[in-house]
Amino acid sequence: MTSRRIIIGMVGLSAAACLLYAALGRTLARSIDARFGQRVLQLTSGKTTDARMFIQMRLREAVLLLTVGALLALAQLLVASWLKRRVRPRAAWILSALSGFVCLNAFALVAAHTVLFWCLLFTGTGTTQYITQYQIKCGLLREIQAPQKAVLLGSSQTRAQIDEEILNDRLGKQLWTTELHFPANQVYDMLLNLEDLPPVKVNYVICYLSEGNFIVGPESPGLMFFLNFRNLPEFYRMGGALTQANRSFAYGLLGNALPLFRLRDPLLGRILGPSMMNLSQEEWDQSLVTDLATRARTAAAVYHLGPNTVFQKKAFDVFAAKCRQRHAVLIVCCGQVNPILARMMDPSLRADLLAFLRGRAAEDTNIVLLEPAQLPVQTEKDYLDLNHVNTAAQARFSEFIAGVLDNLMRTNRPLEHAAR
Amino acid sequence: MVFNSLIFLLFLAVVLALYYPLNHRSQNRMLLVASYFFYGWWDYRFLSLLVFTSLFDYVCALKIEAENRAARRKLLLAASIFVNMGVLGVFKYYNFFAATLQSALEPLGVHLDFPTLHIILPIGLSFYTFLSMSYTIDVYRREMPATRHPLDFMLYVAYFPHLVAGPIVRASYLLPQVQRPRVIKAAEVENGIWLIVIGYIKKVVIADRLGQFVDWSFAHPAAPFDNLNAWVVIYAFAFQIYGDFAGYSDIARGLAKLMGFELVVNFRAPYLVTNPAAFWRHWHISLSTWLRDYLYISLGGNRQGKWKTYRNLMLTMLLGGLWHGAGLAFVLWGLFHGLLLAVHRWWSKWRGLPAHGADPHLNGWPGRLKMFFLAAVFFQITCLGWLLFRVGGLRHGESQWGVVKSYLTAMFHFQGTHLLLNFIVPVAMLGALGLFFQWRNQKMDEFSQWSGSNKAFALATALALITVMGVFEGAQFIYFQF
Repeated sequence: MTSRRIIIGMVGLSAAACLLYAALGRTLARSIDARFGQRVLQLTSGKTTDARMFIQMRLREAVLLLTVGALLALAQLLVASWLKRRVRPRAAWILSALSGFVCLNAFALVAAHTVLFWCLLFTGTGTTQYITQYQIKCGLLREIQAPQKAVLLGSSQTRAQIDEEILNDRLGKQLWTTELHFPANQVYDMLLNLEDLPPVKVNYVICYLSEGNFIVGPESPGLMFFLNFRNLPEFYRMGGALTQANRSFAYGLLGNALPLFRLRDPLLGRILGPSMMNLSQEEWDQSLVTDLATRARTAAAVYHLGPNTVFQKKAFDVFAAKCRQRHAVLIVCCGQVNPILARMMDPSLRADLLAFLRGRAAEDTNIVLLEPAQLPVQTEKDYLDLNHVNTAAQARFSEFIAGVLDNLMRTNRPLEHAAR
Repeated sequence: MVFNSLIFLLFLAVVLALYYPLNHRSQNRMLLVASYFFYGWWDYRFLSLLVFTSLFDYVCALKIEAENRAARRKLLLAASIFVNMGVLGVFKYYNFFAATLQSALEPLGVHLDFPTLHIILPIGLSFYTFLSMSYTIDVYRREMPATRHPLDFMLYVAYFPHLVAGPIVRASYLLPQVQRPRVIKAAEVENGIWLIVIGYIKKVVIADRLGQFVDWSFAHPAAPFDNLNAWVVIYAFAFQIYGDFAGYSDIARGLAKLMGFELVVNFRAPYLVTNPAAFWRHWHISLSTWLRDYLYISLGGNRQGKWKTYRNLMLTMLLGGLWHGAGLAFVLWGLFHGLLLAVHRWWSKWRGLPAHGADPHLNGWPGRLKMFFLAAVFFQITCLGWLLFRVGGLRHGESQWGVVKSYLTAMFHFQGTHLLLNFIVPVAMLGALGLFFQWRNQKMDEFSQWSGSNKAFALATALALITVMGVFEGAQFIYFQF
């Protein structure tokens, strides 16, 4: 009886919240913006351009979550009472528990589509899970008010090479760039990221590709957050095999069936704290050899052509086709790794990568290929490790990309006046 | 095949699907095959050892029962104990004793060169040899008749829920259940489901989550924290090992209930007790009662005077420590608990308290506060023992004493302490969950009596907890190594 009262109370409260939002939502957002707008912009550190819009959307999401929560609780109550009447008591409680579990998952599914939910999981810069940061930025893409939009897709190398803040400082009024990298992403993961984007017009998709995106593999953590059952037919069409069907793959499918499972890492980061969740990363960092040459020797042995390369190349073709379908120009930086590593790698890998990307750029006019010779020169001194450049090199590279984008928008020719 | 793996869940589904429609004898045959399959999944070669031990004790028990001459009976019992301990000695203790003897005689100028055996320890060996041995001892003591059905006895030893990590169920308790047709009661199935679910929570949520932190901490050659915070690591291990072992026992009991069997309760509320005697009535109960009935009482128990009682306590706990692992750290852990029991016994006698250490029923908040304080103090003492236990499991060659010393230095370094909140909070949260299960352990066993809505709420919450917080990398159970 008590739970029934609580649920009825919740439904009433959510109905009242909906009415209140409909009547006073904009006014409330305006008044909050007037008092806390600057603070909101500061907290979102350049991820949003309009504090009032941000506040209003979060209010809307709060009402949505409250309503969905109340409706699901009501549905659960109805199912439980129906089961109590129609099913034997021994089985009723199990079915009732399962329906409760389904309701929790349904709530998680809705919550995962709101920025508010991800904001609640944000534990601070440097400690938050990558997926939380990714989802917040992805969600905010809908709210960005700019004539044109670009997204940066790729692995941590893309993030290390291109700073979205530099691009937005230079071009923000005409073109807003959102960085959506995910660590250890390969091309197939980028394809999943592209499909995960909200239905908004994206004019440019920018990615920095090097040997690692095609060759090293096949375990990529992104699969567990982005893979869905609907991706399976395409996965197998592209020649995906059981070699790719690893733990991340299985977790991805399980996460698709149970949204709560997909949210486990970010939720745990919030519940148990980031320190507990970063232990394996810390262990990995500690296990790394400090001497780069030694580390490069070990890493170079992993870089080789194989079935995964063929799969990732096919994924690139689908990726490029989907960019074209979305009317987004695909800008591919034909990138590199630290020259220390490059010297130790099989030289045929580089040749293979260049030949592949040049071939695709020649066939597809939607691809803007930035050749290695056109990119800013990066030497060993510019690198922090085997793959990631330092901030000075990042700033140079970002300025170069800003120039490319500027030219593209103005003349449709990427390299005119672009500073190298 | 570990309980927390997908392959085990598939195995269980097949076993249950086959089990229910069969008659009693066929059920036993099928369970025996399934249990051997379950065991052989790790390494089929060790199946022969399991079969040999079972058959040897089966024959020994029959001969003991048939024999009336006391000397011959004793000889047959000695043969059974010798073979069981011999198997344990070769596979588990040979290298430890050889190395210890070598290093002990080295300063005296005696150089022994024992060959080192490169053999792996068969999983669950200590459990099933104790199980099997208890049968021949009980038959010898005429506490139970020997069974005439070898398959029944083999199933009693190999029954997969308890095979690799207990509980060590006495033959007089489990064998009759094997021999008579089982009745599957709906209430017991409900209790079984709930025990399995909370067992998984204890294992994959509490133990394996904390295990990541503990393993990370002990991967360092010294305590990773330089002050009182080192306690946090030991607290984490205390709850990890509780979750790991109590979780396993719960799953084992739950599985047995699904098949109409009843295994003994192995854990109650070990971290909510106030003294060592009570601790051993709450922690790994099946082992402590085994040690009490077959070792402590055989040594004379408390019937031969004060000093011999202390000696028996120390000896029993020392062997209990050695049962856990072939290493000096485990021996010291056993001695540590033996010492605690002896001191507690002396204190109880001196204060005129009952020696069995039952917690007095104190009413009112001052009494409860006192109990809380005593339980908290005793928990710290237990944790000191866990440090030895954890160090005993280190495999990576660094000085175990170096690790113990560094932890003890850190744990009792009271100056300049700052609290590592980022680790204390998660350890406290998971520890609190562990304590909750201990506090409500009686209630957990009476799940079928809960109201339908409470049962549904508990199951849905448990499923969500496992989904969100569980570790699914199929981590081994700590007690498998014993």
